[in-house]
Amino acid sequence: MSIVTPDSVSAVAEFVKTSERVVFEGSGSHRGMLVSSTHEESIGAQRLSLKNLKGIQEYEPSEFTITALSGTPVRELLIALHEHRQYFPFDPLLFHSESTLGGVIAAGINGPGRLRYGGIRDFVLGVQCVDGMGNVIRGGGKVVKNAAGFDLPKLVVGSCGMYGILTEITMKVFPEPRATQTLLFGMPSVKAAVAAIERLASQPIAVDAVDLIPDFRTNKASQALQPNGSEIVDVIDGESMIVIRLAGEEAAFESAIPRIEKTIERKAIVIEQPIATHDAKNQEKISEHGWWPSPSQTRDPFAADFLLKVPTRVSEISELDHDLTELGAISDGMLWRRYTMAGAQLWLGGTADFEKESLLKLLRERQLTWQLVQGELSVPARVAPGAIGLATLIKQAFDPNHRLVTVLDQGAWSESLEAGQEAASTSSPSGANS
Amino acid sequence: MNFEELYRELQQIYPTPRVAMDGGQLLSFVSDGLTAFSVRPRAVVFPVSNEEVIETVRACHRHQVPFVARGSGTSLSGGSVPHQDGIIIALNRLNRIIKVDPANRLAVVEPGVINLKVSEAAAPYGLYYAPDPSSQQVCTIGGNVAFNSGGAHCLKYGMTSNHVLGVKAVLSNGTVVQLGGESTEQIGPDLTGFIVGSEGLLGVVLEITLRLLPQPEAFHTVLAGYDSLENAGDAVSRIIASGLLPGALEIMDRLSMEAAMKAVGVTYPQDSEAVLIVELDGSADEVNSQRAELDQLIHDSNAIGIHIAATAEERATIWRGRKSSFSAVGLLSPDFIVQDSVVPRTKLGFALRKISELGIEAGIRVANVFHAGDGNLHPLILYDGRVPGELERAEDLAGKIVKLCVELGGSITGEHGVGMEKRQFLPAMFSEVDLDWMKRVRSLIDPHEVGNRGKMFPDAEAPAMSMYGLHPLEKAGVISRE
Repeated sequence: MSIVTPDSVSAVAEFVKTSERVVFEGSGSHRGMLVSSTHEESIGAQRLSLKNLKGIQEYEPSEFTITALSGTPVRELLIALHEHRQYFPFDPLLFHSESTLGGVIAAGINGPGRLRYGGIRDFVLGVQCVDGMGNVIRGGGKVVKNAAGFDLPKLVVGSCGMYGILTEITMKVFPEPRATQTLLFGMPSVKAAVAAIERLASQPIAVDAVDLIPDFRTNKASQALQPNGSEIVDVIDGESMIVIRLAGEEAAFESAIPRIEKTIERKAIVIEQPIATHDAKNQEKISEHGWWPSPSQTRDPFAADFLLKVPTRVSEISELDHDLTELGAISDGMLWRRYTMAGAQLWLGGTADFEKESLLKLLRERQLTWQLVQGELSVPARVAPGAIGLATLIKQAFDPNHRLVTVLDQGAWSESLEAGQEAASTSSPSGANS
Repeated sequence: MNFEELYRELQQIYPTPRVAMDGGQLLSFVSDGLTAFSVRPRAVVFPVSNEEVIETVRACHRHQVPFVARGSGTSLSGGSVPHQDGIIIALNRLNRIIKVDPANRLAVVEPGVINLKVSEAAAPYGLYYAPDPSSQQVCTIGGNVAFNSGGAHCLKYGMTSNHVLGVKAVLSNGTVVQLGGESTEQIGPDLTGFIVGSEGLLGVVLEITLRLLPQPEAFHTVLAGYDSLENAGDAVSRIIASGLLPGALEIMDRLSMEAAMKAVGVTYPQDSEAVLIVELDGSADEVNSQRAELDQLIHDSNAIGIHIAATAEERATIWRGRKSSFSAVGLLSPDFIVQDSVVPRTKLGFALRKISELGIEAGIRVANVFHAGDGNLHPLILYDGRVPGELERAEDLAGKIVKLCVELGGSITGEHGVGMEKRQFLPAMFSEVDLDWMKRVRSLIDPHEVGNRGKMFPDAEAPAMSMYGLHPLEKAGVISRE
């Protein structure tokens, strides 16, 4: 299997024009989102790596915009932004595993901070891609506000490269919060934790991230929050842990904490004093807690041999979690679970080797969608059926010869396509077609 | 194209009062917020259900008759102007708020729901819908979605697209799709984001799932007068550089201040050439921790007069002045063109100087109101259409301003969309190759070009332009514009 590593946009375009099939070779951070080498389309295909297409092209802090080639490691961007007291509010993940800007956009996977100001899709301003015909195309622009033309920047988020190979991206950035502080709350049950999160949802108190770790005493997800072994679990009551990150002015935390306690109806366990994001002596602390995507972070709480993203709604978590606990993989501790963004997403992670079909069965029964980020699954991605027809139709505009092979072609599409066709034929007498 | 066949089908779908071809009914649809264009459609229909909209779009696709889905017709880019060979699908009766789900912080609404009504429905739960174009008392969510409407709070809160979680839509080829959902996270390409802002070309939204946020509980609003636009711009730069993230940052120049003073009686610091309005919003904890810093920044910024709103009424007054300024210029001039361009924020000062020069050259007055935080300018080009040649000079000036903004690295439109008005400028922003992919997508979804035909893409055919001026609802003081 050969890997091609072009170092210019024109070389990428040339490569596409002269290839029958193009398969991505990423950095390894989102390996579950790459087409497996055993997939029929991938056999004999040249794999394309953009690791040499990197570098910040423009960065004007006062414009709140940064433009970089897609192979630029996220780590490099975070360092450059941090120097100017700016950041990506959506907490791009997996930069310890050398995730790239293009990979992060194509994967469309947000970190916990998405809760406050929005996700990747809300911060992509402009994109340049090479489409399946080798054309170098653009969409969006380089300014924070723009309503011209169809929104290609949004379309490519989560697209896994199915419409084009991302080559250059312009992102919006925000001023970095001056301080952060993490609080923990021990709740008697998942149900109580969910109710507390729902109460918090309508409060105007500014919270930066809200995650929920059920069964934290046995759930390996809580290990990311234990700087000194088991200390934290010893001081927290209950079974489910709510983790809240505050970010902004230190002075605001003092008054915010009692309000949060009142809403959650529990005392907070304050596991650290406010951390000033620009105080050099605090960089260690930031890295210990694994919360803040600081360049000095040594451990990535989301790194795992198997990692699955499942979009959820907070109101369905109690029941879902109950069902999950009946899976062997969960009860045996092979898989950890963590609900993030105040319940908008479930992370399942852990060992690569566990019985997977019963998990997929459960997710399908609950009509959930999913995206494999690390590991292997018979169906690595399940897209909502009602969208599949349009997604496929649009592909014809960018890649009519289906040169760009992506993980979305691998099993998921056909499964959702059937469901989509079923849904379409029952939604109206004349039967819609795509 | 077979209009007669189509009309027969429409009469099968709709009972008589809800499908019309007679002049009287059609007149109220001939223009929208861009009053320069006036086009009579051939018919109008008033659906009350999703099914009726779906059947209508399918019929239009089959008979190749163009349609324009329309809410309140407040578009400032002519986005909802009818097509002379086509029909209007008036969506005002699809105005149900289907549900408000406070636990999941979302609302599901029909396209005819008025923007402000969403916040009203969310209020009992301590939530609100953030995008606030200043026509929000009248404009509809469907229109907001079609044009990705903005408002004064876009730097911090984003635009409509950043608050749409999902849509159910009928595409222009008649296919019904369900995009996105109720979670903020999704799998696969962001098709919802692609549909928002597609200017009605790709289909009609039937149900929209909107993200709700907790209502800000505190505001700190400062109005500062400056002896030059330059100094006002500098103050903005300092605020941006400080790391504060205000909810709103607005600047008005002397002419727009005059207009506002005339219209709503608000006062501004004496001898101001420009005023800056800065507002912090959020939790009381946050706002209290930042207000002193903001006040200090303003004090250090060469302001000649500073007013800090001490009460909700004072805050409302400041905003009333700002929000009235568009319509208010109607008191200074019989006609005006509202522009909507974007420049990189650091080029704002230069752009304003050039605009002033261009205006003097053309002998045309230009009032300036803009979202200083995101570089979104709204030059208001004042002219008198009765004076021979003045309309042409005004249009010429408008074109020069748009080109200037693009040359500076900005955009032809920040929030009003391309619509009818700026079609010929789309090639200034996008190359042939870019326009090609957009056209390919469009023709796959709408092979007969029935979805809002004639908008967004540069087009040979264009209806004749008449005078610009105040929208009737503005004259009545019901809406103002951003």
